[in-house]
Amino acid sequence: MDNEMNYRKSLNKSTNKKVIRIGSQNYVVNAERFKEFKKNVIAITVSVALAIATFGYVKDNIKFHHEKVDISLEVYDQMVDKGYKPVPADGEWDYRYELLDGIDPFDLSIYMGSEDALSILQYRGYESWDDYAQQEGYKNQRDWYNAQKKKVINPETKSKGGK
Amino acid sequence: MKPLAVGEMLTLGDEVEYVVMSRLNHNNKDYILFANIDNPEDIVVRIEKFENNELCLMGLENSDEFDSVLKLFGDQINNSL
Repeated sequence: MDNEMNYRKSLNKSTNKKVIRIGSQNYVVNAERFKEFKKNVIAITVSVALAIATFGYVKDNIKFHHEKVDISLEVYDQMVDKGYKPVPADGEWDYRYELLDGIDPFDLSIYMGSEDALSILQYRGYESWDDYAQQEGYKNQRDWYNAQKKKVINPETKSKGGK
Repeated sequence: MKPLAVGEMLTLGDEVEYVVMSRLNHNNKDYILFANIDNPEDIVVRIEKFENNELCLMGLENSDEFDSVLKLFGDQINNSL
C-alpha cells in the first residue's frame, strides 16, 4: 500500500498543472548539504532506481486489478447470456458446465477463483491446471498465469509458449 | 537562467529539498527527474521550459506520460549504475 501511495504522490506532483517558476530563491546553497549529498549519491541513486522499478510494478498491478474487474463483469454477462447462474448458491456453482463452453479458462479463473474454475476445466477434459497449461504450451500453471497476466497488462505483448 | 544541471539542489515550491537526478529529451520535451534528498522514494518529473528567459517547470500531461518517461529515466539510471 505504501508503494501505491508513493506512486500516487509522485504522479500527482509530476502532473500538477501549476507552473513552478524557478528563481534564485529555489536553489539550495548549502555546502554541508551538498557534501552530504555527494557522500550519499550512490545510495540515493540506487533508491531512486528501486523506486522507479517499484512504481512500474505498482502501475502494472493497478492496471491488472482494473482489468480483472472488467473481466469479471464480462464473464458475469456471458454467464447470464448463456443461461448459467452466475452466483453460487449454498456454496455450489451451477453444475451445468456445458453452458460455459466458449468462455476462456483464464477469465473463468478470475471470476470464480482458480479452485472453482478447475471443475469446469475438468469437465472440459483436463486433469489439472498444470495439465491445461502444458497442453497450451506452457511449463505449468504459474508460467501460463504469468503469461496471461502479461497479456492483460500489455495486450501487445507476445507471450512465450502458448498455442 | 541556465537549464538545470544534474546534482543541483532546489526546492519546488515547498520546503522539500530536491536534487536533479537526471534529465532527458524525449519528443522534443526536456524532462527533469528530481529526488527528495532526504527520502529518495519521493521522486518528481517535470518538464523544463523557458518563458521570457524565466525557467519554468511544467506538469506532465497525464499518468501515461509519467509512466513512459519514468521508464526511460529508469533505463538511464540503471545504465549509469
